[in-house]
Amino acid sequence: MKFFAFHLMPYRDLPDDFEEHHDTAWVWVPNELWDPEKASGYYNEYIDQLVYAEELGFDGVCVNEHHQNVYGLMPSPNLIAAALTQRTQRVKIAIVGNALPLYDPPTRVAEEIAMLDNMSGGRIIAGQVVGGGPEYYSFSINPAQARNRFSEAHELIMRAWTQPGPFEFYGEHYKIRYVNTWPRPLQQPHPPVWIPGVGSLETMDFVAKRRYAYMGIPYFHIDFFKKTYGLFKQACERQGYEAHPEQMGLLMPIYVGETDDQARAEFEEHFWYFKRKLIPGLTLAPPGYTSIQSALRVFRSVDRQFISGVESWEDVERGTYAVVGSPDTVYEKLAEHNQELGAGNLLGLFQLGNMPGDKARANMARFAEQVMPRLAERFPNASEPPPQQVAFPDEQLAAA
Amino acid sequence: MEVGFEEIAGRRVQVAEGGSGPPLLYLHSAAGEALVWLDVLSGLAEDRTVVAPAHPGFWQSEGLETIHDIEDLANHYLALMDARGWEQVDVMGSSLGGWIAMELAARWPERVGRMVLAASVGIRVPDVPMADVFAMTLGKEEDARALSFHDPHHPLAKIAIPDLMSLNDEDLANFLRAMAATAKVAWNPYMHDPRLEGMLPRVSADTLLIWGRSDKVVPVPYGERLAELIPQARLVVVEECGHSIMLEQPQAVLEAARGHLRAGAAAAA
Repeated sequence: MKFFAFHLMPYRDLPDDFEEHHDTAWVWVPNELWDPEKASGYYNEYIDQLVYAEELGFDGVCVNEHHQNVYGLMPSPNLIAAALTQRTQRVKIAIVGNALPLYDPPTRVAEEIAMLDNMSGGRIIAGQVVGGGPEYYSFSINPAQARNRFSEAHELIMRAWTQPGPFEFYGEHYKIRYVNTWPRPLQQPHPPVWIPGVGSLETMDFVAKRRYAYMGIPYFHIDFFKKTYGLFKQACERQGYEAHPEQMGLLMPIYVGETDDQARAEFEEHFWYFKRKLIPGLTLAPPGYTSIQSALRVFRSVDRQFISGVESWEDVERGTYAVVGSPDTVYEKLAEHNQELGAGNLLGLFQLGNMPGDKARANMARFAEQVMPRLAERFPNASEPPPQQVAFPDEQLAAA
Repeated sequence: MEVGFEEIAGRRVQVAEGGSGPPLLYLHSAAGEALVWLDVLSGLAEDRTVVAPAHPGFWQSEGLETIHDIEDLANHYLALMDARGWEQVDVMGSSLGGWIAMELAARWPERVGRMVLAASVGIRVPDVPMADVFAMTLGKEEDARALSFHDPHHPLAKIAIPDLMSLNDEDLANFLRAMAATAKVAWNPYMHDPRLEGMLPRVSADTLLIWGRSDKVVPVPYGERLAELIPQARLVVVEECGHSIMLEQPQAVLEAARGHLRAGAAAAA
C-alpha cells in the first residue's frame, strides 16, 4: 500500500454563526469573509504540513483544485505543487486538479504539468478532473459540455505529451493550428494519470480502458465506496485484466489520537466545522453536468449516503465518514474496509475543517509511526508494477 | 390534443397538436409545457390548429447533440416550417420559446406572420439582472417558486416546480433533461444572444409582448426594451403575475393573445 497526505487547504476562520447566515460555502459565498490578517499564513503552514509528510515517510502528497469557495483554497494546485517541488526531494506530488474544461486552450495544462515534472525530477502524478459542479457556475463554462470538453482536452493534452509536434488539433471545442508543447515531461511517455469519479460507469470504463488510476470522490458512506470499487474492478475485467491495487485510490478523513476517547474529543469539532460550514454547496449539480442516468444515481445517493445527511457522531461511525480513534482502532478499521475495497493508494485527509496546525501534525505523526507500518505489512505492495497506461487504446489496437 | 413523433431536420421529436383552423406554432419555455397542453393552448385551439413541439432534449425529443446554440434551434424550427409547407405562420413563444421565436423572426422575417412573446428571454438589459434559474437547486424549491410566481402559493406553483425529492425517477429524469437542454443553449451567455438585439429591427411580424408585472426572472424592462427594438410591437403588462405567466394568469394571456392573432386573421381576410 502507498500512503499519501492529501490537503484541501480550507479556510479555518469562518465566524461561528456562518451557517445561520449562509447556505453555501461555494460560488456565492461572499469573499468579504476572507480575513487577510488571519488567512495570510495558511498557505505556508499547509505547505509545511505536506513537507512534513515527506519527513514522516509518506510516499506522496496530494493537492487539489477548487474555485470560489471556503472549502479548499487552491484555485491553482499547480502553484502549490511548484512550491512542493522545491521543498521536497522524494515524495510523489499528485495534483488532483487540473479541471480540464475550465482551461482554454488546455495545452496550458500540458505545459504546466510538464514544467512541474521537470522541476520535481519526475515526481508528478497528473490528475485530470472534470471539475466540480460549483466550478461551472464560477467559470460560466457550459456544464452540458463538461464531459465532451473533458475528453477532448484530455486527448489534446495526452497528444501534446506523446506525439511529435508541431501537429494540428481540430476538435469540437479546441482548435489549435500548431500544438508543439515545450517542455516535454521528464517521465516518459507521460506522468501517470489519475482520474476521480463518483461511480459513473462511463468514467470507470474510460479509466479502465486506458489503465489509468481511479480515485473515488470522498465523503460517501463506506458501502457506497465498496460498491464503486467493485464496479471499477469489473470495468477492468471487461478490458481483459485484473485491476492493480495502485489503480485505486481511497480518500478519507483520518484522525489518530492516543485513545479512542481522546481522538474523538480532539477531532469532532473540526468534523462538524467541515460538515456544517464547508460542505454545503459542494454537491451543486448544474444541468447537463452528467448523463441523466448518473445524475439520478448521484441524486439518490447524496440523499441517503453522503456526508451532508450526517447528523450525529453515530452516523459518522456507521458510515465511516471519517476514520477516528486510537492507533489500533484506526488500523483495524482501515484494514477491515480495505480488505474488501482493495485500494493500493490510501489518501488521508489529516487536516480537516478548522483543525489547527499542531493538531494536524501530531495526527500525521501518530498515523505515520503507529498505523502506516502495520497497514504496509497487511497490504504489501504488489510484486508487479501497475499496468502501463495507454492514452490511445484504440490507436494501439489499430497499429497492431 | 394528440402527441405524436415526427422527424425534423433529422431529429425525432414529439409534437402536440390540437384544434382546427390556421396553424399556430407554439414554442415552449424551459418548463417544457408543450406536451401538457395548458389552458392557454386549448383556448387558442378553438380557432387555430396549435402545433406545439417539444424542443430537442425535452421529453422524448431527440437530437440535442446537434443543438449547440439558439441559432441551431431557430434552424430546427425553420426546418419544421418547411416540412409542414408553411410559407408563413403565426408563432407564439414563452420565455425560452419566445427567444427562439425572435431568432426565427429576425433571420427570416417573411416566414413569421404575427408573433406573441410571453415573458421572453433573449436579450440582456444592463443593470436589470435576470434571476439565475440554473441556481434553483435541491431543497430550494420554495425559493424557485417565489422567483417564478407572483404568488408562490398559487395552486399550480407546486405542480410547475415540485419538490424534487418527491418525484419518481421518470419525472425527475424529465426535469433534469429539460434543465440540461436549456443549459445547452442558455448557460453562457446567460439566457441571451448578444447578436439578437442588432437583428431585431429586421422583424416584420406584428408582435404582442405579454409580461407579468412581478416577473423576477425577466423583469418588465426587458419587455419594454423589446417593444423598442421590434418595429411593430405592443407591450401588455399583466398585474399580479410573475414569470410563469402561462400558469399564473392564463385568462389574461389567452385574451390578449387571441385578440392579437384574430386581428391578424381579420386583416388577412
